[in-house]
Amino acid sequence: MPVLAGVVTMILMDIHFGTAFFNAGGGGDPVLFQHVFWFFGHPEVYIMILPAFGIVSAIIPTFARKRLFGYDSMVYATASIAFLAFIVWAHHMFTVGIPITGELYFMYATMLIAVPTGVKVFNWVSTMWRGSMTFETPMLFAIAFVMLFTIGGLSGLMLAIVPADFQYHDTYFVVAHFHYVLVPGSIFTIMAAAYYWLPKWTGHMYDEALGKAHFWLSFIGVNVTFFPQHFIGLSGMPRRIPDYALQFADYNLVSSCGAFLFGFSQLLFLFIVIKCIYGGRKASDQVWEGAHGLEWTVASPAPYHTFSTPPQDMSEAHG
Amino acid sequence: MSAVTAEHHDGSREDQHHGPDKGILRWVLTTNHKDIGTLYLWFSFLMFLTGGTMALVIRAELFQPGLQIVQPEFFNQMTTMHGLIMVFGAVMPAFVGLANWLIPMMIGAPDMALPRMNNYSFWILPFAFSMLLSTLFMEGGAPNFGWTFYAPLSTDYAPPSVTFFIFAVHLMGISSIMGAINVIVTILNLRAPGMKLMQMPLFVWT
Repeated sequence: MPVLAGVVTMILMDIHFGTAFFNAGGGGDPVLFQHVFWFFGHPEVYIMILPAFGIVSAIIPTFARKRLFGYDSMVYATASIAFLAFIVWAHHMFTVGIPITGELYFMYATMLIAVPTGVKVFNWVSTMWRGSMTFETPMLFAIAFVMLFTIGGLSGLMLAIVPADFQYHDTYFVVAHFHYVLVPGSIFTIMAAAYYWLPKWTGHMYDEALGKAHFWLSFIGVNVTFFPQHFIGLSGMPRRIPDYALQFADYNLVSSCGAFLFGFSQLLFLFIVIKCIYGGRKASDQVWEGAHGLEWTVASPAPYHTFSTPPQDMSEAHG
Repeated sequence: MSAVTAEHHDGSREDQHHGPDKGILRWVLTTNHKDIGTLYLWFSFLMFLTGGTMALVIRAELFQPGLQIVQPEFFNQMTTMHGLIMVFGAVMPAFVGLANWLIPMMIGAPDMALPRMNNYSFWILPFAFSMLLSTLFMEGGAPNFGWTFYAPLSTDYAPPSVTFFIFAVHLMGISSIMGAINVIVTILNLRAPGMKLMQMPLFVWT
C-alpha cells in the first residue's frame, strides 16, 4: 500500500503540479507507472488470497476430522508465495515491450509460484483423504474453493506463458482467470469463514438447509457466469467493452444469466446471517466436534472480553 | 497456592460488569477487537452488494450485443468502480474483519495490540468510500480508466474527479497500513505465553 500511495501521488503531481513522471513528452515514461503499479498490484492480489488459504486450512481439518496433513510445509509454502509475490510483477506487462530476458525471467518466476501452491492443494486433498468427512456449509464452500481455485490457477499458468499471453492479454480470458481466483477464491472462503465462525460470534447455529441452498446457488451461479468467459476470451473478445461482435452473443447471454443468479443469491446470505443473529439453535462452545484452536475454548457467543488471563494449554492451538 | 492465584487473576467474572456501552457511540468509539471486526465485516458486505450491483449493470449491458442500457462512458465508470470497490472495499476489509475477530482469540490475546489505532483504521474507510462513490455524481463522471488506472488514461485523459479518487486511495492506503501494522504487532507481541510461532493456527500465519 505505501507503493500504491506513492504512485497515486505521482499521478496527482502529474495532473496538478506539472511534473512528468509518466508523460513521455516531458521526459517521463508511462511504462514506469505500470511497473510501480504492479509492484504494488501483484502482492496485493496475494494479500487477497493468502488469508483464504488460512481459512481453508482451518475448515478442512475440522470437517475431515483429521489434523492438517503437513502443517510445516503449509507455513513454508505460505512464506514462499509471499516472497515470490514481490518478484513477479511484470507478468502483467508482457505486451508493453520489455526486453526478452526480462520476459523470460518473469515467465519462469511466475511459473515457480505454482510449486508452493501445488504443495497447498496437495495438503488439503491429503487432509481429506480417508478422513471422516461431513459436508456442512463451510466445508462445501471450502471444497468448492479447492476445486475452482485450482481452475483459476491453471488458467493463470496459461497466462504466465509469454507467447500465449501475447494472444490472451486484455481478453475475457483474463477476466475469467481473475474472477475464478477472486470469487470462488477469496469470496467463497470469506463466506465459508462466516458460516464456520458465525456460531461463535452470535451464539446461534445458522440454518443449515438455507446455508446449503445458498452454497449451491452461488456455486452454480459463479460457474455459469465465469466459465463461458474462458471461451469468449480465447476466441478474442477484449475486456472492458460495452458492445461486442455478434459471434460472442450466446456465451455472453449465459454469463449474464449466471451473474444475476449469483448476485441475487447473496440476498439469501444476508437473510441467513440476520436470522442467525436473532435466533436459532443454541451453539455449544466447541460448535464443531472436529475443531481445534483456542477460539473454541471460550463461550459461544464469545464474551466481550476474552483471555484477560492468558490460556495455558498450547497443544491444541492449531488444526 | 497456584489455584488461589489463578482464581484471583481470573478476569471472567469481572468482565461481566464491563459490557459494551449502549447506543451508537458504542460502535463509533469502540476499541474492542470483536466490535471492530463486526464493523469491518458489515462494511465489507455493504460494499460487496454495492460492487455487485455495478457488476450486474455491466452484465445487463452485455446480455445482448449492442448498446441497450447504459452509455459507453458510464459502462467504463462501472467497470472501474466495480474493480476498486470489490478489491479495496469488499475483499480486503472482510479479511481485516476476520483477522480482528479471530487472531486475538486464536493466539490467546485479550485484544489487538493497538486498539485505538484499530478504531481509526476502520473509521477512515467509510469516508474513503463515500468520497470514491461521490465521484459518480461529479461533472465528467467517476474514474473511467479501469481499476489499474494506467497512465496516461489516468493523467492526461482523466475526468476531473480523478483527484478525489486519488485522495480516496490515499485514505484506504492509510487504513490498510494501520490495519496491517496492528495485525503484525499483535501476532509478534501478544501471543499467549508458551505459544511458539510454529504453534499458531495457519490463519494467523496468513
